[in-house]
Amino acid sequence: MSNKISEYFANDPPSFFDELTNKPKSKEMPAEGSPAAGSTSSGGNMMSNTFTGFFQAPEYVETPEAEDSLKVGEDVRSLWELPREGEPGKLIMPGIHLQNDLPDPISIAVTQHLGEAELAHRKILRVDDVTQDERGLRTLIHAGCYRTAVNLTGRLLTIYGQGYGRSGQPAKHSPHSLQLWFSRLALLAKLGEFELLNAEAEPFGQLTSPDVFYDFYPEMYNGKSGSIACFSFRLLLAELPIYLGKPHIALDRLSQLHVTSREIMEHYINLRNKPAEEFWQRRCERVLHSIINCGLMMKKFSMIDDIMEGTLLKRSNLSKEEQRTLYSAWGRIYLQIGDIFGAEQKFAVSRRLREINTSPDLRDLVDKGLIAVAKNDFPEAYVIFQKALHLDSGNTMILNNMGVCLLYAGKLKDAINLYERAINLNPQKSLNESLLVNLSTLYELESNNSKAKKFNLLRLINRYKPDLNISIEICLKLQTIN
Amino acid sequence: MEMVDPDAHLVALKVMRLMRPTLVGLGPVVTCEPTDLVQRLGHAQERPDANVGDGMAGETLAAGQVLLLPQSFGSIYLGETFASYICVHNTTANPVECVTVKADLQSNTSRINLSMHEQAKSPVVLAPGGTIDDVIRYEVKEIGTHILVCEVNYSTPAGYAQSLRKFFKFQVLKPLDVKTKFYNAEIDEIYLEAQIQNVTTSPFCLEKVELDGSEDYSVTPLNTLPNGESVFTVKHMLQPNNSCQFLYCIKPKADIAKDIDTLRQFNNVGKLDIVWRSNLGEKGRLQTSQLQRLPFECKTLRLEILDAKNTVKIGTIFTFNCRVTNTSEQPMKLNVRLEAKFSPDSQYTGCADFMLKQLQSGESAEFPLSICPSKLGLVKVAPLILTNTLQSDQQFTIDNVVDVFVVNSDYNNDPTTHQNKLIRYESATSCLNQKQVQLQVV
Repeated sequence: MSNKISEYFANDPPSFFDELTNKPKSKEMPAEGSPAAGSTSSGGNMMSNTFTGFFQAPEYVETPEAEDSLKVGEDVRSLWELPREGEPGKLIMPGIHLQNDLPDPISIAVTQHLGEAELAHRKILRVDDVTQDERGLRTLIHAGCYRTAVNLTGRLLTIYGQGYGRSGQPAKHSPHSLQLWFSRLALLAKLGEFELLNAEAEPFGQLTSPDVFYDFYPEMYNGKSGSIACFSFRLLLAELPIYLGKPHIALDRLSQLHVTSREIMEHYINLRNKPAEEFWQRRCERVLHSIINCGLMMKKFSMIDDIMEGTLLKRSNLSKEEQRTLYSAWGRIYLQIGDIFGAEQKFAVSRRLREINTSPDLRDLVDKGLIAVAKNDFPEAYVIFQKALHLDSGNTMILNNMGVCLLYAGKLKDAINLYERAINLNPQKSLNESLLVNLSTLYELESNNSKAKKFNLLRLINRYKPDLNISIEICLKLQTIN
Repeated sequence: MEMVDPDAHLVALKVMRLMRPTLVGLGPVVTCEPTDLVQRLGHAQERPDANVGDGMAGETLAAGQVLLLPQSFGSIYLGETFASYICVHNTTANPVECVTVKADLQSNTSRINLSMHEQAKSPVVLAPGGTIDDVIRYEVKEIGTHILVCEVNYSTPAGYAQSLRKFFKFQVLKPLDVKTKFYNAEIDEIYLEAQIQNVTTSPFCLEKVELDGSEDYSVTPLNTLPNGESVFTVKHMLQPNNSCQFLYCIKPKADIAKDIDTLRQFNNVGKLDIVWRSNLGEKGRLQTSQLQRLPFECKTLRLEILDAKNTVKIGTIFTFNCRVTNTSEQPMKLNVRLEAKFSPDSQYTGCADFMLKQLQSGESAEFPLSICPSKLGLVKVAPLILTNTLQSDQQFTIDNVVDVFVVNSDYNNDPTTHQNKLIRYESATSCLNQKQVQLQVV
């Protein structure tokens, strides 16, 4: 098995990490504070002091409003009926709940476990590294520096008078200020900062107050009507209870959002406005996806079946690729409950929809690999994932899955080696949450030296990772260190 | 500089239960539209991996592709396979000699040795940092407390034998409840309704539920539609505490069906074989004990209808033969009475009232009955009242003796007449008692 691993790495273009790892034993230096760690490390190919790299922000090129194949006017996008009922006097008065910047848990963990000096190696993007505007915000998000991006939204919202301590004070809303709020809250969701998200989202309710509608400011917008808040914002607020462990509330809100979206779609059907109809149909579908995600949390699998079969797959102009995505995801949902036959059926549909005479693509192979996992045939699953890796070398998800297969096949050391080499080859990409949890689990199983090895991972995270979406203590299982 | 713990061993022993990994996504799904201020909330390296050129579906459905190792021991159920990774690690800078590893699984009634690969059996030298590791598997066959006992033996550099033991205690729980209902029907058929309830804490999927008929009975499952699809819409998925029913038709094979006494002796109709899967295919398998059909006769009597046509023409006499068997322990002297109401609504005319000879236990008597149908369509002949004059007029009322289809005199579509053999059981006890069934690992 280990031969096979080196085989596929041999096909990768050489990088400077290879140079480092291929050097003889002298490179393997024990990590500080643990006399045994160095010599006992499996292969010792991942000592942080061999890493000289840092986080590299990917180049960000602004593209003018891209991709959207459906061109519709602003009036179509923002159509939303001003709620008649409700309290007309109640206005939205948001404010930031943090006086200072969002704390960086990685820095905190590094200081606590490795000492402050180590922080000198942390060179992620800071707020002042980018322009103080939306372009800067996009640059930070593109680089994955979500915390810094949140902090930038804080600065920009302060300019609008909606900063720290302004909660409960009258505010004036504009498309831009609401977009900033949406971006901020969406980023908090991505970061898993659900408590803060909930607190700051609270004043917005479900965006039913009159002051987030153009109708509220007749002189400023020349009598225009519709929602100032974007649809994505409504969706985020509807889904929010999912993150707080209350999917049933989210389900109610999402259903309501779906009803309204459908009404708007039907309105455009009556007007025979095809592009607008299709645009709103996409939004309906997006809401249904969130409803499915709720269903997954609540284990309402028959509801998921109904939505998939009865609505999502019914759309006549679905592209083959869209259908394949849906069938493949559907099959994976079946696998989660243990319905292997059901999953195989869905995967087979997805496979048949592939262009004739093409070889299996990444999706097919991953689907097939997961079936092998479900059948408890981990060696076979490993081989299939390996094939998939040939199509996309360095794919973290596949490397992650291969490592899991190795463990179940009784090859703990090979699994650790695989993960360490993956990190070697591309630390910035490979150090993701699930791979870190898996590798830390393997370290704990392997020996009593897991602490030193996890700290080593922490050093690498410090260098390469701006953010993680679950706590670093959970990622590295630091709470179990004594 | 290393602190020496007097209890410190030269090797470390680590154990991790390997239930199936879980499938996870890439974290919270949040999306934007192209006209939003932030057009994309993913960063450069976070594109959904296997979804090349996807529309939105692959990104927004939280059905992940990433395998995550189990982060807790979880629950284990009877019939599932307990798999565990065992790793012995030399924590010192010197080789450790004569290392052997042994794993036993101890339950309330047994202790089983779980084999590891060859390397672990004979004493080996473990290099510094080296490991002996393997996966052990065992299908748990008992409910209740189990203890995994792992033992490592090795010798110190000074040559002393050392032993390191670790115990891992866990509970094996019951995954499902099976209840059965038997129903003795006409013509020797027995119907079995098996109700399977999920008593675990998460949904699972019934992959196979099969009644393996014993050698005396043949089984026809009645759980599929004519097109071969299952009658269950939701793919045999069972939420916690939910249950579903399976129906089987069971017939005694020809060689035992013909003789009542043999039929009486062979009550084992078969076993239910159940295979289920939960998270990502985690598999469990159980079998019920032999299911016992209901006693054939409940110590009273049995009535058979012999050679009855199922179609007659109106205006002709419909005659059928009855055979009554005394299946009780006591002799019987029966009065037979077939009633017919004299009213315009009556479907037939003809009545009977006569005594049969005394029947000893197991003895039977045959007699013909005749009626004349007066209405077209399906005519039900009933009630037939049998009174045992020896037992203070013990009465058996048979409410549905035989049905006959009455056709017009010019009807000659189907000249063949069918013979019917009906068997009726009279019993005081209900035939529909639900019974809890014992489960065992195959």
